Amino acid sequence: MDVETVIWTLILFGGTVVAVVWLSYIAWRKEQETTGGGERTAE
Amino acid sequence: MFIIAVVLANLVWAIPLLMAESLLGSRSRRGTIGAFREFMGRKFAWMGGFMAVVTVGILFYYTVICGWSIRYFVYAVSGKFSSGVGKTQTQNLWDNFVGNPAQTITFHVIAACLVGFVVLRGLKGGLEKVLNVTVPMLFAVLVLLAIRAMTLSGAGDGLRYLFVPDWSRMLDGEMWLGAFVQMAFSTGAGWGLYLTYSVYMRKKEDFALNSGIVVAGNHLASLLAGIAVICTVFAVQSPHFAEEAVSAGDQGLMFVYLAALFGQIPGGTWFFGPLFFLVLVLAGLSSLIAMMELAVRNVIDLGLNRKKAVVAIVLVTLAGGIPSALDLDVLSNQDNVWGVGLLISGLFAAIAMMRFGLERARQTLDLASDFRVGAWWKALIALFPLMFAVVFGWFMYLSVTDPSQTWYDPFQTFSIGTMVLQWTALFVVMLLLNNLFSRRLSRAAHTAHGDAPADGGGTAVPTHQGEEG
Repeated sequence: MDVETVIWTLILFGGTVVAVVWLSYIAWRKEQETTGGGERTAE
Repeated sequence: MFIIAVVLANLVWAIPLLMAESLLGSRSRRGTIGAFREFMGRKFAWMGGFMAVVTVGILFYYTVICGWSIRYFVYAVSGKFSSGVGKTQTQNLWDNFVGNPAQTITFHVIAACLVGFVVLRGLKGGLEKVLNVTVPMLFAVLVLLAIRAMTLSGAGDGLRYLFVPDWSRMLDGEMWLGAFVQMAFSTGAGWGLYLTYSVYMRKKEDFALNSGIVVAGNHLASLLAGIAVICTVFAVQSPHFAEEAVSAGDQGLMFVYLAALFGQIPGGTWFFGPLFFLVLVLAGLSSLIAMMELAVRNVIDLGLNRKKAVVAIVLVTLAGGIPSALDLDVLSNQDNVWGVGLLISGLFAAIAMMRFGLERARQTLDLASDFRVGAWWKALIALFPLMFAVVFGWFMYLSVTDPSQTWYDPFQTFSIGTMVLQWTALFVVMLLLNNLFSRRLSRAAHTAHGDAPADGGGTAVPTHQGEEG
């Protein structure tokens, strides 16, 4: 596999994986706060 | 280049649009028709009708495709794709299958009835239970298939084909329209599906975060599927075959070329083949359930109970899908007309936001969001008409100036003429039905809630979890 393919795969596929993990973590943390810390209202 | 275009379309169109749709659904507590009536006024319920019919137009032929997937899953489980089976055999199998109306219609009926059964049970009893199982399963199987494909010798050529941009296509209007349609198709932006789900969600749901997860998760699933398919094709076959396969369109690629490869992969006949078609079935059913729920929600809003609404929509789907089940050209035509029609639906949702007030909409969305829904959201929604004009206008210009196409012929499968004719017919029918929609919505709301003021400024509030009627 050439370097160009590796770089673009990392950018486009790796970037998507990072985005999904990051957003899922925020959603999970928010869910934990809501269920663990009672009603959470937005600022 | 295509993936970069899709990423861009996701960012500038899908995410802001899904947020707009959620506001339409959560605030109005109605399906697409009722939501547009609430946001745009009594004279514009037809816009919601247009959005609903575009999605129902897709539901018709998508049920047929899901039926194919069910048939091919049965083929795969019965060992049809063994080591001696090549492209000639899978091509014959495909031709015999699609050339046999009894088979295509039977599997279309099976798919429609399966979906109807789930939707009949409501959101909590049917849809949520099914999606809780199918979505994680879908991801697990896609990861497994992608890993298998990437570990095949020669898979690097497939990755190169998928990910390394071909900058010469940067100004290819058809590619950009394809990317926007692909984005709309796979994320569900502009379908009204997210609007419908939001009817059942809490009003203070974090819609910005949800939209981000939907778009990113969907993009990841698409990339995994792309890796699984393209890497397998490039690894197992010659570059010439691979190019031919990826040019064959989705149907040819899945049901002819890829089916021919399972016998050549270790574990392909009995494990990866059935697994692949199972993924297609699950993905198809999940989408169909959402589409049918959208149609059912609108019919419930117009005064029918869930049971009658589901039966009516299943019957309409069965009838509406038959032309696509009988003729692949009809199916391709419908795919093209309503796929691009999703961009018009998206444009309508943006117009509804403008009418409601972009700043007011932004503040409402921002209230429950972890992310700052700032001026970027307003700017993107305000740019929707321009984005639509550029992408569709560019595509029209290329079609009109292409001497090999008769762009104005309404009877050609992919012409602009056929799109405009069918959209216009739909506009006219929806405009004629506008008053009927408004009257029925008012009457249904009055019957359901008497004179009591309802949530969201005098609108009817459906029972959460879809257990009405």
